[in-house]
Amino acid sequence: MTGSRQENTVTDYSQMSDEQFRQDVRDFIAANLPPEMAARWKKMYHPYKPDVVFWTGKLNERGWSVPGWPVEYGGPGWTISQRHIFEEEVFLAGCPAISPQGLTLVGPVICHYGTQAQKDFHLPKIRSGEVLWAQGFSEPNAGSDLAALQCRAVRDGDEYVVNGQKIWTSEAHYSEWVFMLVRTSTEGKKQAGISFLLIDLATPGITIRPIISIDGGHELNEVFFDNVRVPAENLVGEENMGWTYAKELLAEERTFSAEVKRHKGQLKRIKDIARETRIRGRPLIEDPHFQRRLAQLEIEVLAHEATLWRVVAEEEAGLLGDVPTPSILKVRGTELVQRLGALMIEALEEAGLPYYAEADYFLSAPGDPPGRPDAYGVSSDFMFRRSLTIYGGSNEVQRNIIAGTLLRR
Amino acid sequence: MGMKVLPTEEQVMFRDAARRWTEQEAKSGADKAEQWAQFAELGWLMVALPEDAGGLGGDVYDNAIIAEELGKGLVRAPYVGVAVTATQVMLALAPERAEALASGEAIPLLAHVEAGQGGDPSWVETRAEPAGEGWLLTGTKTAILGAPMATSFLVSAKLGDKIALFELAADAAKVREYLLFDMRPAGDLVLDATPATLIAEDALAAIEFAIDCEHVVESAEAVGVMQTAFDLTRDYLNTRQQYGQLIGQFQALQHRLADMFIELEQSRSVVLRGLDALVRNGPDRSAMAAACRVKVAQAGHFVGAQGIQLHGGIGVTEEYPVGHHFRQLIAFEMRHGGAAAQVERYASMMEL
Repeated sequence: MTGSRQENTVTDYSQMSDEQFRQDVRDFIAANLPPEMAARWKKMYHPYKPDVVFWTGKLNERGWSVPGWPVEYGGPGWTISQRHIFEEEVFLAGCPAISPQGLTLVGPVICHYGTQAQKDFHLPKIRSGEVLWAQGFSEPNAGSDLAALQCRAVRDGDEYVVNGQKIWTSEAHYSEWVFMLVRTSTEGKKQAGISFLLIDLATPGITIRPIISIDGGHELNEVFFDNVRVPAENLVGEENMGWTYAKELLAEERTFSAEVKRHKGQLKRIKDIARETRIRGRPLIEDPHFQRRLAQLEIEVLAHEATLWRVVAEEEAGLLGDVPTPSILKVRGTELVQRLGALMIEALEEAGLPYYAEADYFLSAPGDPPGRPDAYGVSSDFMFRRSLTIYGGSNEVQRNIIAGTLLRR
Repeated sequence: MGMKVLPTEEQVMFRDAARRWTEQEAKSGADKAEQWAQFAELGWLMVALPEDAGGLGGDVYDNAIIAEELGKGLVRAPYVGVAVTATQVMLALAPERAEALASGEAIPLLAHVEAGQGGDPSWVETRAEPAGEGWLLTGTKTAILGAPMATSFLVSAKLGDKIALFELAADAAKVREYLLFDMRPAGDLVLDATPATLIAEDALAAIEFAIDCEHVVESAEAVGVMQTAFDLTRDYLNTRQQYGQLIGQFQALQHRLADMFIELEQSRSVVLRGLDALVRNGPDRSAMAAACRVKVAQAGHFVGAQGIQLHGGIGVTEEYPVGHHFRQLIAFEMRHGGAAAQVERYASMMEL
């Protein structure tokens, strides 16, 4: 039923009530999401590429695969509220997550600054899920201090020759392309010599090494570049302007690091677990001590979500002040994920202790589980989510931004 | 006041030996059987045994000093489970058999924790039924640390209105082995009308004492785990550069490191208080043991998590050790019903 519904370009979402929109999204999910895929994604673990490609394709058929993009490049024309409703519905239903690097990072940059040839070549492949992207920003000595990056791109005729290393490159091991911040000049301020370059990961001279994280999973990588020759036409915008583009692309997504959808998923999962856990014969969910701890966190989520709604309404009304909104949402959102994760493992009691190797349970539940089936992935997720307060600008950097904004007045 | 704070000369010797052993072990990675033989040879399995039971006549202080050092190196062998928990149970209920533990030839483990116990050792659902001359046990015991290397299990079970203790040889037991997420080997003991030998018909008081000892000495071990996480973090702040300076020069990170250190020091102190309560064995013993576990578990969560945070990305990698320390601290927090359950247990025992 879905492939034929190509009327998205004529659907006027601005006339649709939030309730009606939410129902539309739910109907679409009910008709298209295979249950075994939903079960896999509700474990909130590392992405699984075949599911991502399948689901991006499904969404693309409906015209929904690139929610934040301008309509002329295939975006659905949703309001910011509708985008949040969509994100929450697909997350809670267990839909595979669209790979964020293409959707929210390089896609908008190509839309704004790309050449016509770059737009024609790359944007359709991101929309369809045919090409997945990795982000080559961080380096071993350029983490919080990203502008210190040293991976060099030297112009040689019609090509750039790239040498250096990137690290913490999520999903690089199964991505087709990487977008990079590279150093093209050492003159002037360090921010001024950085360019934005698109590189096909199949190019000779690229080596990808896995980084196994403390949950035992593989999402992160190191990527090495040894005399990698990249066509100069893969430069986005102007040389030495990459830092500006990167900063702008982060501002575009100012409300989407709030993680409210994940909090809601966690709250539901904690309650599901606490219904199953019986302490001295009584369901944990009925224990007033436990209820109090759960209530405390639910209140935190309510306040955080209300902050998000407020910011979205202000943004839609064009009332953007100089309040450092993304930093506030990121700090509180990521720290709440970690606190909810801690309550979730607590709700499992000793059943949360066994280690489940990714290979044992990711594709299908183990036949002979050491613990409770609802424990799969809980401790792994808890461990891996330590990274939330580190990547995308550590929470220390975010607090500096907040304080800096406040004290400049 | 009056709490014992300073180690004796003998304890300093144990600490130094355990420190050297752990540092070397971190490099050599000897196998488990060999490690255990070395524990026995070094006297670590008999430190808390009275001299007339073939031991060195020490107490749980000695165990705690050794456990802290082993914790620093994340040694996986179940030292506390055998040299503290099982040893204390045996001393109370079958002292003539304690010597076999000290020599390392017997490795019994207490199989007492069950799903749903919520940290209350008096809650047992496993039951014993008479069968001819012997007994049959039915139930499931969970999260037994070190289960794959046990020679036998000391199993608690309901017998009438008492909680009795039985023994079951490991080769006659159905053990579901697994790793904890901190990579320590563990297992569940699955009992289905399984024959076992009776050790004592009324064993709850001995089990409670042994588990109180476990709370405190595991806390000492966790202090060691925390200490290394702290040391790694401090070194990192003194080495890593960003924005053209050592990150240890940023005040926000200095304050965090100071908070980590305060938590570590509080933990170290509360362990001494717990040990004191064990030795005095007064009416506040179980409350103090619970308090010790709670404080150290919460401090460990903070120190481990901030250890990762201050390292940045490298902290979440398998390749770098600070995350391993975090995992073991979280496992410590989750055992015996979890720290929150132990807070409730303390609340039920505190003076109002």
